[in-house]
Parts: sequence; C-alpha cells; structure tokens
Amino acid sequence: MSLKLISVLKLTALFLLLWGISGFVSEVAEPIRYFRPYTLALPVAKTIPYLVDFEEETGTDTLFQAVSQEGCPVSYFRHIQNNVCFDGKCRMLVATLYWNPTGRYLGFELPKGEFLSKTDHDPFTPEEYTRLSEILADSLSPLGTFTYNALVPKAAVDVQKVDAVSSPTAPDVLDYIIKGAAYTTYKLWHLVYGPTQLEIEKLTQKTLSADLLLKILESNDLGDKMWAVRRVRPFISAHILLQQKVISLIQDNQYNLSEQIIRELPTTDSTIQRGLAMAFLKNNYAIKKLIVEKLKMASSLTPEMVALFTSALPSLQGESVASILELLRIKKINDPVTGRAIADLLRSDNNFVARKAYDFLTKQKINDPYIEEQLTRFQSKQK
Amino acid sequence: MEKMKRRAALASLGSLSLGVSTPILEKGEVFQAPYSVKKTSLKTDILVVGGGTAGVIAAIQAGRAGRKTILVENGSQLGGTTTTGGVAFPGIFFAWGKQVISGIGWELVQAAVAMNDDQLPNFSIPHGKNHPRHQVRLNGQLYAMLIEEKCVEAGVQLRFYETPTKVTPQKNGWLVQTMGKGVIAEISCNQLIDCTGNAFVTSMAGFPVLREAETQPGSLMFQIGGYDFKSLDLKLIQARYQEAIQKGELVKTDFRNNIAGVLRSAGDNISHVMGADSTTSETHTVANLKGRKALLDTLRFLRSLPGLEKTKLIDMQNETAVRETFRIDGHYKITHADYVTGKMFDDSVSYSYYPIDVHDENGVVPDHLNEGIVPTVPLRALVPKNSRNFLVAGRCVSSDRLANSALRVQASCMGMGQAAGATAVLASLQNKSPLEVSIKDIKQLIEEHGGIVPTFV
Repeated sequence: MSLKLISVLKLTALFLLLWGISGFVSEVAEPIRYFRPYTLALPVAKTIPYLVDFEEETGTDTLFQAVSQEGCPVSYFRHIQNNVCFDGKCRMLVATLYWNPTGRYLGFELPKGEFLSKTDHDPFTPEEYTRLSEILADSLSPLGTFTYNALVPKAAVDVQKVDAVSSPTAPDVLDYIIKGAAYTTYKLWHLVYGPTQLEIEKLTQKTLSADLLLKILESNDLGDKMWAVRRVRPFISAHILLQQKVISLIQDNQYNLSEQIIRELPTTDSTIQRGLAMAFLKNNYAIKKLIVEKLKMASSLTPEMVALFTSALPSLQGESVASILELLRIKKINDPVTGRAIADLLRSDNNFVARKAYDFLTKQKINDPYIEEQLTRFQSKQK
Repeated sequence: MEKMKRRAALASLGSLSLGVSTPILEKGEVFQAPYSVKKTSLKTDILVVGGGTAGVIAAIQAGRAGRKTILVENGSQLGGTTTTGGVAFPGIFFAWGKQVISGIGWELVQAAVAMNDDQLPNFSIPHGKNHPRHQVRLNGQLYAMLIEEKCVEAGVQLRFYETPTKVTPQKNGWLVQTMGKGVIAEISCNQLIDCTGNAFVTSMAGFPVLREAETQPGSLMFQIGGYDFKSLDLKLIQARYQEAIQKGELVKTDFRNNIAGVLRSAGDNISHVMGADSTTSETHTVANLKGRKALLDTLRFLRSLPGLEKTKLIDMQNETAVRETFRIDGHYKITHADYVTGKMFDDSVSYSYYPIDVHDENGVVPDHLNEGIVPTVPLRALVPKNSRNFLVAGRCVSSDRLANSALRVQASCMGMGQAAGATAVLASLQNKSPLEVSIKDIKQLIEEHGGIVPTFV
C-alpha cells in the first residue's frame, strides 16, 4: 500500500466514523437516501479512498471507490459539506453523493437526522427529494449552462451561497430546480457533473477489462452502454464474447448506440466483418448505410462477405444496391461468379439498378462470356 | 507613293468608321448571335417543381425507382430552406427514442454529418422541452453539394434558374412551361409534383390554394461576432434598445424585441421578417430588402454600444427564408387535433414530429406533443381536390394553420417528399392517378428505399 494511500486512509477514518459508513450501504437506520439504477448490481466487498485535488471546486477531498469481490468498481461516493444561507442564517448542506463506475449519477444520501431544507428552513418533502434526484440525473439540464446569478437574478448578500432570498427565482429555470432551494439544487448538480466525474472515469479506466466491459454492457442504461462501447476497441479483437455482445447491440431502435458501435469496431477481423454483414441484413436502411460505409474502410473483404452481399443484391433496391456495388468496386471484386450475379441486375425493371450494375461491370472489366452477353444486350436495349 | 499612303489612310478610316458599329475582333474572339430565348421541348415520367427540402427527396426517390425525372429549381442550388435559407438544422427525425423519418432524407443528412465530422445528437434523450437538442446541425453548403450529387447519380435532370409560367393539363399528364435564363422549356410529364413550398404550381394548374390573413414571419439567417457576451452590460443594452425602438430607429418585431437574444445566439435563427412571402419575385424581393435592412440597422446600433463597438457580421444568407405562404386544398386537411393526437390514417404514408410552432411578432412558444405521440401524414393531404396525376410535398401540404406550423419543418417535408416521389413512381408505372395506387404498394416502395411508413401498433 502506498504512503499516500495510508495517509488518505487515516484522514478518512474519522469521516467514516462520524458518518457511520462502514461500507457501500450505510447501516444507519433509515437515512434519507434516493438512488437511481446501478450500472453493476454487485455486492460491495471493500471501499478504497482516494485523495483527489478537485482544485477550484472543493480543493483536496476524498473520493471513495466501492469495489466488488471480483475487483469491479461498483460505485463511487463523496461526502459533501457546504454552507447554504437564507435570511442571514446559514446551515450546512451535508450529503453523500454517489456515482456509477461510468461517472453516471447514482444517488444521494443524508446522514441520520439530516435533511435538506428550503427558504425559511422548510424541510424537503419526499416528492421534492424524488424530484431532486431526477434533476441530478439529468446530465443535460440547463443548470449546466446557467450561471447561479441567472437562477437568482437579484440575490443579495453573498450571492454564491444564498438560496433564493430577496427575489423570486428566474421563472424560466423553475423547472430545473427545487423551488426555494435553488442554490442547493445548483450546487449539487454541479458537484455531480463537476471534476469528480472525470476522476471516476479515470479510476474505472484503470481497472477496465473485457469482462468488466461485458458487465457494463448488460446495464439497462443507454449512457452506460455508450460509455463501454467507446472503450471496447483495445479489447474486442481478442474476446469473442465481447464481439458478440457488442454486435448484438446494433439495433434499429438504438441509432446512436449502433452508430457508435459501428464506428468503434475494427474491420480487420473476419468474425467482426461477418457480424457486421449479419447486422446489415437484419437492420434498417439507416444502419445498413453505416455498415457499408464502415466496410469500405476495411483493407479487404473476406470471400464470405462478398458472397453474402452479392446474394442480398436481388432483394434490395435503389441506394442499397448502389452502395453495395460501390463497396465491391472499391474492394476490387472482379471474380466471374460475383460478376455474373451483378450482370443479372442488368435485367432489372428498375433502370437505376440496371445502370448501376452496368457502371460496375464496365469499370471492373471482368472477362466472362455471360457478362459480356448481358452487357451487349443491355447496351442495345438502351439505344 | 503619296497616293498609296492616302489610299491606305482612307482605308483605315473606312475600317475605323465601320468599327463604330462593328468592333474589331482580337485573335480568338468571335461575334455572338444576338441573345435570344431558346425554346425546348422535353418529355419525362415525373416532373418535380421546387428543388428544396421535399423536392430533392421526391426527385431522388423517383430517379432511384427508375423513372425518368426532371427537377426544376428557380435558384442556383438545391436544398431550399436548408441551404439557401440557411436553416441548416433539419430536425426532427427521431421521436421518443425511435427513428420515425429515415430513407433518402436521413441518408443525405447522415452523409453531410459524416463528411463534416459533425456529431449527431443523442436521440435517446427525452423530447418535450428538449426538442432543440434533437436538431441535427449541418454544413448547409456541403449538404447542397451532396444532394446535387445524389440527384445526378439518380439520373435526375436538373434545371436551375427556371420557374413555371404555365401549367396545362394534357391527356395522361401535364404540360408545364418554364422560363429561365435564355430558355423556355415545355416539359410534358405523366406525374407532376409541386414542391415549391408555395403551392403556386397547384394554383397555376387551376386548383384552389389557401392562406391565412396573417402568415408567420420569415427569418434572415446570419452570424455576428466580435464581442464578449459575458462581459456585456445587458441591462444598459436592453434600455438603449428600447429607446431606439421608441425613437423609431429600430423595429420592435425585427428581432422579437430581444436584443439580448440576438447577442446570446450571435445571430442564427432569431430574425423575424414580418409578412415574408416567397411566392413571387416581387414579394420575395420585399422580404429580402426588409430582412437585410433590419440587420444592417441593428448592426449599426450595436456598434454604438459599450462592449459592442467591434461587432461584425460574419456571415449572412442570400435570402430571407420563409415559413408560411399557401397550402393546398387537399382531399384531406390535417387538423391540429389530428396532429396532436398522432392520428393514424388508413393512407398514412409518412411520419412527422415537431411541436406546434407558430411564430408571431413576439417570438415563438412551442407547444410540445404529449409523450409517445407521433403524427402522420395521409396521402390524401398531398393531393389537391379534383386533381389527377398531381401531388404536392412539403409545407404546402393540406393542413390547418396549427398543424402546418409543425408539418412545415424539414424532416417532415423530407418524409412527405419520399412518399410523394414513391406514389408518383407507381402512378406512372401503373398509368394511374396517385389516389388510385394501392397504399400497400406505396408503403412497400417507400420501405424498399429505406423510408419509414406509419404502422398501426
């Protein structure tokens, strides 16, 4: 264990004692806690503290990593203390914020006896706690772009720590905060999406493996899946299960995820090429286009792929035919078997398809009597 | 010798005097015959008038299905509002996490995004107030080139700088006379698709068109810079802006009475040109003049304010983009109630997704659709009453004003364009009028070309 880690452990021991936290889930009776779905539903075996310099946000603070028996990071958490003032009276905002290993907001917890309060010290209602958790889960909230002054336009005294005192909260942001607790909401949201997220991603990244990625890809949260997909490239060629899992996620109803997967997949691997070809056959037009464009970047196409795409041609129309022919042309496919199949397209009722086949065959110059006969017939028909 | 010199001098004088009416030609120069307007006759299966958002898609669909297709556009490039108008965010293609408009329109958008290394939005985020986050931002000029390339690839004959002057019914189709630079074309077609956005081909063909007494304002898209927004004294700027309006130096409605908005967004889609109408050269000229004057006046005003002295115009579109003019009186008029309930029709051929979005002098407050709602467009709304071999696509779809305020957006127009193109293809192949074609066949053709057709769940 490094000296740094030992000192961190000493520093945090007091915290753990004070907060009554003995592991990931507190044993304290009924603390107020609101949680979102976990990325990894694994029991926590131990908690590892890391001392992190969060610079302007809070300075140096401890970030805890909750780890499973297998060594997977299950969650991260930080204890937060911050002054919130209204009507000249200040109260500490004391809470523990939790994140998933992908940096996604997981939940918050208050120490026993603690509660969040609004203007006039009214405690939050259960509905307001639920709403707060929803707000904190919204990574796209306009709170990310608003300045605090925009939330409370004419706030007096110490504008950085005041929770809506002398003026109403700006009406266009009411949907994004808990009324009467603008500062609390704003502060917590910015803590959730501040530098902690990046630290978490870095720490998880250090433990990343194909097995951990597979587990994250099982999450029901699309953001988790996207996070994992963006990191599969170094692992995927050597891990058949990961390949299968990732390719299975290429689906019509998940365009962004499918697009990201197709972008990340290497095309050198024949198994992956085959997976992409199968995904081409079963998915919609938008996905088909992405797959063909991706395969154009491959150094070569396996004979199996060529046969598969060629056999699909008669059932396709318009641009799908054109893009496959373009793919075959780029890959310099000029064997007679493929050429004959394409020559059959010259008889298509759709002149666009026939012309595309004609363009392909005249450019590839395949020396085959059947193809030449079909070309001659097409040319005479066009006159 | 002296006589010879005199003769030579006289000869050169003669050629000089001749040169008054006939210039001396330098090497390589030739005289051009007097400029005359050439007449040409053309025959095609499908004629699409209007190379904007819907027309391009309709033409490509027709071309890719193998029909001989001509596309007439009165400007110099394709894409209409997306390109020339500069509204290069043609959303919305996804609704409630699912793609609802795909096919040719999405393919072209996808190509433009990829070639510009742009990032697509996260389509899984909830809609409602987040709808602007679903907008795909394009490089408009790149898009213009890509769609032109795709038209050419599809075998579509492009005719720029031409506009229809006469539309006459003929046996089994239409004869459309167009006029452009030095050319009058008589185009005989079996199926005619009006994608002008203004329904003026429909009107010229003798079918009634409708418009509101007051239409939505247009917008002149532009970009400004040269200032630090965060350091501006917005209170002062707002006060001076109001003073300038009071004095009559600026017009309140030109920028939605929101100078802070102009500065925050650095231009973009914030100008309002009241009464903008692109139906005729004269009305569109007025809209362009008004839009440019408003911008110029406002730029001068901004440069007189503290912190804004160096404000500069970075870019401006060539014309004012128009939101609303005429709509057809179709076999079915899509109502506001149809739209906001996502009514499914037996002949629904495309989806649409956008909030009810009526701009007025005060700006716009979108009325969002309820969760899960995805409106649809029935084929009957694309066919003028009493017409044969005639379709429309785009914002002149038969609809009431509120429904139209949502249907008019580009993705929806692309969906309609593909549906109209596919219908025209089948009508042409089967020698029928659009409403006589089987809806099942139309849907099949749209799907074969990548489009998404509404289905009963």
